Amino acid sequence: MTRLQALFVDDDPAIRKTFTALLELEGFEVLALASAREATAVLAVRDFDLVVTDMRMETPLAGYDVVRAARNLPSSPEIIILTAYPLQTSDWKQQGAYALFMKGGNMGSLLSTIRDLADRRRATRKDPDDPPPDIRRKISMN
Amino acid sequence: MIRRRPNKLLISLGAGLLVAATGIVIDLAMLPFERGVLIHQVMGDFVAGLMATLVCLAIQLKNEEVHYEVAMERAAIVADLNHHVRNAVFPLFIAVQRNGDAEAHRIAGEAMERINMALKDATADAFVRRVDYGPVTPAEKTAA
Repeated sequence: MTRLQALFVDDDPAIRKTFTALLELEGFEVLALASAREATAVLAVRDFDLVVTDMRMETPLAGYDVVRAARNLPSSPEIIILTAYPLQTSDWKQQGAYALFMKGGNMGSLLSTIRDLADRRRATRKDPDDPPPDIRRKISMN
Repeated sequence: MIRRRPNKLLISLGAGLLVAATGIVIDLAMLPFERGVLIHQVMGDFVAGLMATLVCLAIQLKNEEVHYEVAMERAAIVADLNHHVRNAVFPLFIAVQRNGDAEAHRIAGEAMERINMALKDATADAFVRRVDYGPVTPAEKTAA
């Protein structure tokens, strides 16, 4: 069966490595990127089932750039914000994120949310062996 | 617990009235009783009271502004501290989640809960100025 595609964006290499491994254990094929700029460039040309992004990267609210870019994808991927920086408002809901988790918060809740989203995603596919939404256009290197 | 702050305008009006009343009492005690002169003096005392009210209000507003700025700076410093600690600990937490057994998960969860409580305490301490998370001064470095 084809694996679900996940994009994980975080500027901390240790978190990128460990969380990527965790998502892979949950059955995702993961692309891990270090900045919102890279992520938005990839999201312009490639579809994902799940997008998990940090908030504070190049700018304090860089994560919202990733959320907005992901929201525009035709497959409407599930979007989760994973941050260590306390957010003052619930803007993340208006921006289109499904959930927000604090790093070091309730890990069980985060994992069960990811599993639920993955199950929902698999269920909406007509054929489990359908190829995942993948590269639609080649990245222009110009 | 919400602590009620005294009303700035009432304090300023009280200060102004006190200045005016003091001026009137002193004028009555010191000046000869001449109606025309006293009326002018009392009017002058009220103007002084009004000025005292305005100055008192301005001082309070300025103090509040400084207090707000300091609070915002402290909030930013504590939020940064929070960010760094959580980012540093999170990979360990994930690694335990990935490789550990149920007991390891429980211990990691408890440790993380303790860190969260320490961060909350640090936030509270920073706001009541029990500790200072600002840059370390040379004297503090020597003491350490």
